Amino acid sequence: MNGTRPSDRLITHCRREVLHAQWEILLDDEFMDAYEHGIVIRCWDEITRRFYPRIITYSADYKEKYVPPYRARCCLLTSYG
Amino acid sequence: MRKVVTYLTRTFLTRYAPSHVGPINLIKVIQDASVPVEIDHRPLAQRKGHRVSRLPRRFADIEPLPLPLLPPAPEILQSTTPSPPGALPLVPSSSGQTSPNPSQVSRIPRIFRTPRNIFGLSRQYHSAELPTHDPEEYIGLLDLSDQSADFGSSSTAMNRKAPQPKGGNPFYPFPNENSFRLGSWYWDHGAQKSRESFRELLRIVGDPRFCPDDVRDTQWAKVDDKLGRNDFDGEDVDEAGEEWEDEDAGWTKTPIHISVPFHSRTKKPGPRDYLAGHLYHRKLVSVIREKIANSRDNQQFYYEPFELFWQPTETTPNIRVHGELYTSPAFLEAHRQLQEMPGEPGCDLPRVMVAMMFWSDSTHLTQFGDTHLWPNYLYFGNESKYRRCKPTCHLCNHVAYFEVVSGCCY
Repeated sequence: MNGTRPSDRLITHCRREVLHAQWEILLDDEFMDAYEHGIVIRCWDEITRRFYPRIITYSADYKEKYVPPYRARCCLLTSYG
Repeated sequence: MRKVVTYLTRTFLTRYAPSHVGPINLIKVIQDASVPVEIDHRPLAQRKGHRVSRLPRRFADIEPLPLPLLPPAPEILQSTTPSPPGALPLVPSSSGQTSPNPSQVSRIPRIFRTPRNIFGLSRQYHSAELPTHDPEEYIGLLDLSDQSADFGSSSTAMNRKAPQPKGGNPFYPFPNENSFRLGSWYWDHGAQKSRESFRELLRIVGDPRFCPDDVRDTQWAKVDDKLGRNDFDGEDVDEAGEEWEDEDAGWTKTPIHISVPFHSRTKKPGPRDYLAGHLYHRKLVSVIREKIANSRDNQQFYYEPFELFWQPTETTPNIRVHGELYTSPAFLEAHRQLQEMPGEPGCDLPRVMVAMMFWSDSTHLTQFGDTHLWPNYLYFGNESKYRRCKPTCHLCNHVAYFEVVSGCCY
């Protein structure tokens, strides 16, 4: 990068891309196939069932600053004032 | 004798009973008169009978109970059987009235309702047939309470076996008790020796059971090496890593490639592929397979969702209770869609939804440094939240350690 600091937008882009790339690794073809067609597993009670994985919740933090809406509104008001 | 007493009582009551004396006292008087009484010579305080101490009603508590169980299948399928009060053994849905074909009967959803328990809670299943597995059967008092009292519970936590030390030696990796006590004294009492620490050392070597031969040949460096080693260090796995190797199986390392755009004023503008690091992760399907095949966790794994209702009395309306994922509308809707979708050709296996709940947060590893990890955990919503939050249940699965972009890398 010729010794210059990358722009904030580029860092934001890279952070997003890296996280998306990692989730793409996690949600691989094997998982997507199981999502669509299920996986047959023999359970402990000797009954065989077909299991379909579904992602219900995802709670996570993210390495970007979050600007709450009220702060954005304050900035707007200040600029108008 | 009893006849005589009764007769006397009746005549006495009818003729001589004064208005202020109750009939019970009169019976007592007559009984005392007819039976020879032994004179008690004990002081009055000792004569007092043992009073049964009873907690006031406001302090009385009800023991926690699991949710009401489903009745066994033969009972529930007999529509002529009179149902117990409050229970609706079998209520066919409106679409299930005309279905003579037995192959279709199995696919038509019906409503199964359990009786209410002491708290007024009841469960309602929407399914073609009774659930094959009811986790509530396996819930003991220990699972419902935080107290460590020795209740007669069939808790799975009680049945869980502790990992057996190698070769039956409880002091592994120390060869014997005396070596363990010396090693414990060395590591656990701080770097600076105090008088208390010295007294502790004297207590160890002054013990009549202490034998110098036990500690003479102990290979201290090797023991310390084993104590400090992680299983993923790789070497000497056959000796040190046997306890945890199963739990760490399946970890893989995959390179992360991203496309980084370069603006038009650079020498080579346009997008360029970069290696952003490596992702340490487990295959999600293998985590699910391991989870389902695990008999320890699977007894309390809810394959089918249900609605939970609260009805304190017969006359009050049913109130829906929300709390667990497997009683939530989201789970019920996803489960319904799963049952209604066209299945795999030639497959009649019951379809079960595995509710995955991911959670990740950056974790600082050191107190003064900046070293941190960004782990990704996986919980299963088919398990109760009360068990998921208990670390001793081991229901959290490590799935990945995310790579983070730091500004200094570029």
